[in-house]
Amino acid sequence: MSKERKDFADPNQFDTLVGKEVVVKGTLESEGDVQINGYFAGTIDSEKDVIVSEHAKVKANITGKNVYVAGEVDGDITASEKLEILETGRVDGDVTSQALSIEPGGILKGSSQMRETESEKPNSTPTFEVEEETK
Amino acid sequence: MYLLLVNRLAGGNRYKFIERPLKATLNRLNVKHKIVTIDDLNNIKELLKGHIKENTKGVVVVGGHGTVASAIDALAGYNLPIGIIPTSKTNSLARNLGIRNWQDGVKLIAKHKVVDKRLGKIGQHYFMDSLTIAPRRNLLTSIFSKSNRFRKFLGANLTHHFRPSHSVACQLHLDNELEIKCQIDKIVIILDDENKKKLTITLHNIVDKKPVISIFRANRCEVNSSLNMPILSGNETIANTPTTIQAINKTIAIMQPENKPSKV
Repeated sequence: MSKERKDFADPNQFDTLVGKEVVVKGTLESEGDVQINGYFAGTIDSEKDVIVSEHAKVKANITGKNVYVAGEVDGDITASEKLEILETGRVDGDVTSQALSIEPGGILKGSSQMRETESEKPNSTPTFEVEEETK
Repeated sequence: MYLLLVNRLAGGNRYKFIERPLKATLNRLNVKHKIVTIDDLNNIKELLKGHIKENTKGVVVVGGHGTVASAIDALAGYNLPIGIIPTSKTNSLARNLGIRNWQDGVKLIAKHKVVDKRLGKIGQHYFMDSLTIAPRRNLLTSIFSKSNRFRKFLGANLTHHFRPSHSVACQLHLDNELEIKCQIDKIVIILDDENKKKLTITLHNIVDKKPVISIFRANRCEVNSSLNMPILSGNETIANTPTTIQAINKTIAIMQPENKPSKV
């Protein structure tokens, strides 16, 4: 289930929560939700949602299920479902997701690649065959 | 037969006041027991070697949190359940298990279930439950603000706001993968059985006069700080920073009331 903005502040929701004025460097691998309110440099790999809040600065490649950016991200983002750049969000990197939403005011500096879902892939088989002419 | 390890000095020599009724209750409940007095908390291991027999069903610690912590340390290698008869008010582990007083502890020996609890390690010592790391003045301030009944009577605001000058610069290394730097007022580390058997590390600090928390999970946490800080288990100081705290793959069997859920 994707997050609403009111969920961002609740510390009980998160597996990992980096508070304001906390500096973290390294590789963060998480099975739960991750929220960054401070500073993070390295790599973030979450099986669930990643939230970069308004005052956060992240210098990392981010992988998550749904990714919400309200702060600054300098790195590539891969969201297996949705990427949402909020009005105060700024992403400087390439992004890949099934769905992309950029609120007015949000900035994306980089390329965007959309992922196909299984339901979008054509599954019909052709009803005719093209025969090659033989000379 | 249950082996009772008694710390007579715990709780201000409280054992001498409860000794007779405690023995009477054990006999009335038909609990076969042997009472051994602890002379030195550092020698519990030697004490156990001499008194644990084949027919020993469990070890019951009679004392406060410090006595229990030392016993857990010594018992980590044995496959015997541990029970608690609290004789001081600082026995937070007993309280968490639903053992309010010595009478509850005695009844527990007669009727209990055995639950495996994970152990953590800090330095060379084992611990259960949780640890608190904070500058001494923050701990004292917290204790005094909680116990100020006069202020409560007046209806004064009891919330104490730590000042930035109370915080300490800390550096933590988690699982050799993450390095964390921050000014902290307090660190609480919980050995969380439910959370994939890891440590839950909560950092408390004050930013712009507002409390801020950070939460991390790790198997191993190294803590360094600009000031040496005490590390408390319950109300007992068991170590000081710098130190390494880890969740380990070892459990200890605990006697718990039968109607108490397994989560402590």
